[in-house]
Amino acid sequence: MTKEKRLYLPSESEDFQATIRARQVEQDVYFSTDPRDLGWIAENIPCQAACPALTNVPGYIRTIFEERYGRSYELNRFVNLLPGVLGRICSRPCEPACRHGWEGNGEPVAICRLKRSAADLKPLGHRITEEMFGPSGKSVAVVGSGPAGLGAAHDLAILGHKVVMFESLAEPGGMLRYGIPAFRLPRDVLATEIGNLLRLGVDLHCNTRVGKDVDIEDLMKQHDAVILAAGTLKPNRIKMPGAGLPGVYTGLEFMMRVNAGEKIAVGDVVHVIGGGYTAMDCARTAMRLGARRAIINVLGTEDFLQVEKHELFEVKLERGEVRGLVSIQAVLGKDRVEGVRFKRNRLGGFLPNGERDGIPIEGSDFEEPAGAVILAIGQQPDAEFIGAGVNKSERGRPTADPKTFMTSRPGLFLAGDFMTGAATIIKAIASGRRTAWKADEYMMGRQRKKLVTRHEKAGILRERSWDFIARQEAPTLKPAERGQGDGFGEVEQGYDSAPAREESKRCYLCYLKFEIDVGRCIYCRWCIDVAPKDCIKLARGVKFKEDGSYAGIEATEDWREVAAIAIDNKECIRCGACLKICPVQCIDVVKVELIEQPVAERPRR
Amino acid sequence: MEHYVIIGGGTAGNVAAETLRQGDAQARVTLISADPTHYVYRHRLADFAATEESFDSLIVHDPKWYEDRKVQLRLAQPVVQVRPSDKSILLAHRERITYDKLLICSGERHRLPEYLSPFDKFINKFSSGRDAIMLKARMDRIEHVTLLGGDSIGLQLISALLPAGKKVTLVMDEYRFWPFEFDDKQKDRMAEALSKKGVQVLKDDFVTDVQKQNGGLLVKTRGGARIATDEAILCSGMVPSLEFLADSGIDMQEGVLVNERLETSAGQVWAAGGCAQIYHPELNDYRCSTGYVNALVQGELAARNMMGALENAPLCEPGKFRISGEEFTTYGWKGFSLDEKN
Repeated sequence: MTKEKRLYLPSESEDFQATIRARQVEQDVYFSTDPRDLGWIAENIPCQAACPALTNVPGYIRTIFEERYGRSYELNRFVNLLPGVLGRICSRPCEPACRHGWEGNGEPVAICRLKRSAADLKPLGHRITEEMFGPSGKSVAVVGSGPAGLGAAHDLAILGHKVVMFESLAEPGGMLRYGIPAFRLPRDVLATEIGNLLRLGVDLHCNTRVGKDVDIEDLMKQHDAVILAAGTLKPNRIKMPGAGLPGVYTGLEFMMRVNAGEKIAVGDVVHVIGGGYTAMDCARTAMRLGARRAIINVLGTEDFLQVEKHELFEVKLERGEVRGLVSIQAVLGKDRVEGVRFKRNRLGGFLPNGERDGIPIEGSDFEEPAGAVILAIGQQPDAEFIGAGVNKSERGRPTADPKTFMTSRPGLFLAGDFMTGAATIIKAIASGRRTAWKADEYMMGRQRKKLVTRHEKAGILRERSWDFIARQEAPTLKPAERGQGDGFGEVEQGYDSAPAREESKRCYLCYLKFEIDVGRCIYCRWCIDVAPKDCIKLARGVKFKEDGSYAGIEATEDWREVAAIAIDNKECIRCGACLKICPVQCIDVVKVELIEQPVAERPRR
Repeated sequence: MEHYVIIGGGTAGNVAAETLRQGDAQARVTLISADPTHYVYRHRLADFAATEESFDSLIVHDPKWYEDRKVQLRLAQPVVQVRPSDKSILLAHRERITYDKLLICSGERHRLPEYLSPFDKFINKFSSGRDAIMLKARMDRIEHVTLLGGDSIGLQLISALLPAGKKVTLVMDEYRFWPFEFDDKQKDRMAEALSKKGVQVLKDDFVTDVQKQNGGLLVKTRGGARIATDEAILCSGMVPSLEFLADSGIDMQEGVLVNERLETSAGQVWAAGGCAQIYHPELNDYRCSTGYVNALVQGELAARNMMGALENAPLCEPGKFRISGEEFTTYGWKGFSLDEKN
């Protein structure tokens, strides 16, 4: 590291100087826990930063390009555990964040579909890699086998603990199995990936409800820690006339009964109330059960619903309808549902979830016929089984320390939706894993796993022409084919290898860090001339955040102030044009990845 | 000197421009249209396509009209962004224009229901001057036209195609004669009236496939019908074109939500005509202000309100379609009769 590079140094601290010295050793690979490096990832790999599980998106997309599907699958599975499942139903927070979707860059990469490609195209019997710890002699009970429970059980098993898991329903998977319809998530995919976790030695007890079949006090006595990942099984309800009539369902109840194999008679017209993913699933399921019309009624407007546009499109493609600016007032009928009374709404302000509220207009009541009414307005944790001795919020939910996820009762932890309220599958998996690490730390008295950055020298891995490849669309069953068989065949089909590889080329590979070595730069500015974006700047200095991580370049137009020519990695699309033109080859490319590592033992004194 | 900017070169926009000029001789008035053709009589497009009528005869105002009124007309310049925070709009060629007061009357485009979207490339549209010119060019080769949906434009096409000797099939929308929802009685009455006119009507059915066949098309329905046709034309209603407002912060649902005075949720921005959505207590429902009559009334009213008036937009008198002696109520159109021509 040359002296001039100290332009980039935020401080003269000993710690930082030690890092620099370590890097001066010419290495192809080095690891770091420096907050500046962790901060670089958060700042410069937007997809990974947006993923609650911190999935190494560029890494798994690059391995799809290399046609190493098994490796790609593993890069996913290391952190999100269920790539085949998530590749189908993830809420995809990564895609709106993707740099390829930023203004002027085109459409985001189909990150989620590529995840599914890794799962679909990996060779049969590919090798699964788990970095197992030795037996700890500790035992943990996990309550709930949904995504959070599975995430917790996996990591606890890896860390060498005995894991006993309790599931109140007949099969494991929680919302994945009972909340999501099979036409979005085939059950064989789910069973295989859950099986991969259970194979680690997790002892699963189905049809066992904690609080009824097993006492939580007994669990606390029998185990060194207990993790509650019981999801959100208490549906929200609306107090209104007719709410108890036969033919009125909550979204969760409706999906659970259909997913358990029941053929519910829904009549000709089904009104779904609510605009989340469950509402979409209910409407599509109702159409498959024979409804001629399924109308999703929302308070505000469709534009502000917190579901992907793609989901809304699929609902409408199947002739479902979305109607905004209405509020349900009553369910009508004598012995069962016959109709619904609504009011029109005016558009209100923003709700905490980003949706717009609707304010009923006085005197605007209208009635419509209905064969069934499905209230898909969310659900919350059912925490009655916990009993006293645990701190709870005003709304009666158990609370946990935000850093340790442990409740006020030592050894009792929370994870997933049970802790946070209804969220997403990927958030639940990530939460389950984080709670497992904290429970491990509690039991073992020290942290045993950590996040580090891995730095490896790299080169240009892309071609500029790839930036102009259109987003590859995934085939779906034609609408007319969707009712065939039992009507629950998978709708979206995955990419074949050719479109998967084509789509993989679109990824900018934001984990590549392009950096100009000021010591070798001759200030010719050819790189600025060839840059396709405003990504290389004349810099007066570099801005840093409080934690020392990089915050941006202080650009200047005044040549007298220029201290360096610097690459703004936030603007950089990793095309490599600068590297190709540089006459003195002063631009380094380093691949920066976030990985999990065991924490080294403390030496005995 | 106020700068009034009007987005949309249809009826509402042109009426508004004229009203603004009449009310304020000094103001700058800029009328921006995404359409490359001049403002035309849209209700005559179907007749134009099926007869020898020239396109020039459809043009309402020639360039001199704008010159005389000092209205700066910008054709073929789509607006891609509206920024009420600094009172500016951005055109597709990256020119930014600032305004003092803005009127959005960007009108509507054809509505393609999602279930028909897989067959988009086989289905022709009929909502603009360009669409009409293209249909006219194909007319000699067409013997059989299949209409998909149900709306006023579809009826206009029927009224033009039948006298031209074309066979017409209508696969009727199950629930709507856009924008109204049918009840079964109305649906049966309209199907029967159109059948009497010689239209082959399929009701209580919907299209499940459209594919190429023998130089024409084969349209399949859920009910098992297989219609060999030369042309499939969408007539499933019109919806506002609002993509350019996506990040404007202006409240929208189906259209731009406006109050009775046609004010949007953003200060100094009004909307009128087909893109403006109003709650009408008389209907107990929201309506996008579709049709020529609404455009005419609201264009003028919005312009007056922009100059300081505080007038409320009325609910227009419904018009009537007459088909085989049966009358059907319409909204936003003066209405017409299929019986006069046939």
